[in-house]
Amino acid sequence: MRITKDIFILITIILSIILISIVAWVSKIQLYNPTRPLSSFIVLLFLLIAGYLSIHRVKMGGTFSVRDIAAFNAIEEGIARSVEMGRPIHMTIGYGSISSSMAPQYIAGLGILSHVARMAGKYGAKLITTLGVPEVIASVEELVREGYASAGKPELFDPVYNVRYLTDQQFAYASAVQATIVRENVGANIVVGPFYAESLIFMEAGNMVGAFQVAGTARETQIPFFVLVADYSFIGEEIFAAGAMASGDKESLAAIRGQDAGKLLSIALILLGILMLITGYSLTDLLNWVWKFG
Amino acid sequence: MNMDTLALVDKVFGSKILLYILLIAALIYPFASPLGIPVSISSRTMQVYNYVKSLKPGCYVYMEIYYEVAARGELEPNVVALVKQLFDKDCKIVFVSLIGTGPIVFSLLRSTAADLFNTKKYGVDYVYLGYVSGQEAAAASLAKSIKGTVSVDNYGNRIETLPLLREVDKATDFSLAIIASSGTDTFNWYVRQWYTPYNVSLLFVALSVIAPSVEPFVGAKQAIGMLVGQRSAAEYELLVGRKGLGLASMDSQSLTHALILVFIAAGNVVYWGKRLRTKKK
Amino acid sequence: MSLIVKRVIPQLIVSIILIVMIVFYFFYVNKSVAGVFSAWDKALSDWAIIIMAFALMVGGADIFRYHLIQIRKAGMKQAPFSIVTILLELVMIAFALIGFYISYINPESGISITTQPQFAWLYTNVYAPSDTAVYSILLFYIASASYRAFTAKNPTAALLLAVAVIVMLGNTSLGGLIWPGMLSLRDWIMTVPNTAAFRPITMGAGFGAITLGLRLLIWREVSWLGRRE
Repeated sequence: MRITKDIFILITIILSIILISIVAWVSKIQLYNPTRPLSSFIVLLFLLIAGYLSIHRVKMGGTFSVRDIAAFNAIEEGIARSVEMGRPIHMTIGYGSISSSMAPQYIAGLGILSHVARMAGKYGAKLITTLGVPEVIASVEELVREGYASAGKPELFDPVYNVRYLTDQQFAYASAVQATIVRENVGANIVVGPFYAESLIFMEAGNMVGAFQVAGTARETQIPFFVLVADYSFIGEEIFAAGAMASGDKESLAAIRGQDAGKLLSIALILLGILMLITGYSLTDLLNWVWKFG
Repeated sequence: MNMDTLALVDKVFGSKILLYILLIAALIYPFASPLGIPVSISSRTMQVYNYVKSLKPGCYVYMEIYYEVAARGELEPNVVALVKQLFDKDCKIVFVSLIGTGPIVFSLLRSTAADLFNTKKYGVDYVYLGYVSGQEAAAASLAKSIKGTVSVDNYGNRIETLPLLREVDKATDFSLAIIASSGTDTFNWYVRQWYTPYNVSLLFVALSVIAPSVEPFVGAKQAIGMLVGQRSAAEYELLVGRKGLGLASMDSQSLTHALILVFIAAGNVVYWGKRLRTKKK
Repeated sequence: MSLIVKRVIPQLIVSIILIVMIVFYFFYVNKSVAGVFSAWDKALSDWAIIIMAFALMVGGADIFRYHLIQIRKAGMKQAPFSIVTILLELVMIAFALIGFYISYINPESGISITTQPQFAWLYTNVYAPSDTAVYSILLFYIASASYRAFTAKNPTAALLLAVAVIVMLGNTSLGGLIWPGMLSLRDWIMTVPNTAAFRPITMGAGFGAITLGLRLLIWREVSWLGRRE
């Protein structure tokens, strides 16, 4: 790998962290939080570095393949079918606050929304975006506006029709989404983001009106419901990959190799843990080691 | 079964109206006329009961009330049964909510279990800190110091005036932390901020739908056990000797589940009947 | 200037906050520095709540705008519901003003759901029953979804069906009646295969979130800005 400016900066940062840690250890400075295992920081750094190196490799002209995500390809199919039937499409990204731990899933949902908006512009479809996250109202309006504009159809954008903030309360949101789906008689229902118990309510509503449904969430408890009811589903981390695919940016997509690196690391640790158990040692003790003196 | 019969079965059992009417009937009937189906105690509920039983009388327990009114039906009976067992042992409980609806849910809990709370003195035997904002940061802060996180309780009383809070202040002062939550995040917060750094014993009270995703923590012994939904509530009510909504709902739950299984069986009969008929042709 | 304000400054703020949050979480140095980290960490969470409060006001205005237009344009299919929504929104605003007045008269009461009787009444008598009712609808939807989807089309689906039946029976009093071992089998399914299935999904979601954080850190993720690229 050629040492470009980016790689040089990355190596400098890593070496600085190592050097500061060594100095702190020798000087008995409590550099790291004694209540957090140091291994979690190391794993975080590993994942960030692996993802960054993947992006860098693609920037330098490298190639890689990502398997097709059927649900992502199905979005265009659903939109085209809705246009043929003369029915609008509906998309929602969930409810709550973007400052919660579910923020990555909302952002993944926004990524897919940008793709849906572009497809809506391409086919001249009417897009209804319902929101339960108040902080992103302006961003969603911009995304939908840009989607129609990029397809040369800015006149199709109507902020009141296309973007509807509902509420940030769970079942009030579910009722409102359900009502929107049924009253607008949507032809495609795209549901991507963090969802809780309310998701089945509007998925069933979509089923009742015969809508083509694509759903995705990284919330484990809701994945089975989506797989049960939707025509196509994103399962778990596929929503993050789909968000990157939607951007059309190969370098962004390359970052998901960092996820693969994480999985390989997990498998290696599991196997190592089993081997160590057989020999009478516990990998957990090693991984739970905290930076503490005395 | 010939095709006409299959079509009739499909039409009858595929009718949502019939399914919904039968479900409503199955829900309501046991409340009007209880069936009295016996409830057996599972080993997991027994394990939780025995753990709480083994706590020292008069010990301190932390209880997180993190659910909305919609989830009361499943979680509150578990919480009430646990409170009964703890109060019987003269344990002192510090209640807190990291969710905005916590105060109203706690007031509903107090009115449901008035017989338990009226025998205890507020400020001495139990305290409710109210809604503490900040989610995981609040959980971490409470673990370090309750006095450093909140200055007044839910009712405006200054912390220094509450005798119980002179005896406990940080996570390690508690023998057990019970997390009753309708979401998965709360359990993650307490594992990260209470169990991992301070090794505080955690007990989870979860909805049936959430339980599978929280199970890994219990399996990894990061929690001493878990009570799940109304089934566990019914079992726990039998164990502590206070019959409540958990037990009252079991007949209804059993009947509706049985009805759903009948419909699933009918759906499979129709599917396989049609498939075999098509193959024969 | 417009590009700096619209893209550079927001992305810079996000990158700085990301790094700062990592530092707050993992580093200590000494007690006073750790105290500062902890205080700032809580402060950031509180600021997020305040931002959300302002965002809710924008949302409230958006709801008002949408439903006013619907009353004019949408006809009887939507108009009655829009009228109810606007009325309820006005009621909330009125209750909030009452709340301000009560807290002005008695500053110690503050504005919280337990100290403001009008909010407590609204929550207990209007919101809570509606919330519970909508949650309860799930029973009917799950039942109809189960009828449609739980067919043993192939061996995997048959296995799924068998496991679902065992867990459903184990969650009721009937399971123990049919076979005493049902509860143990249900517990085994929950602790072994279920955990084995959920752990990788949880880990994968975690890795995905970290990768998304990386994209935010290096300014490659811009959908939250309202842009596609």
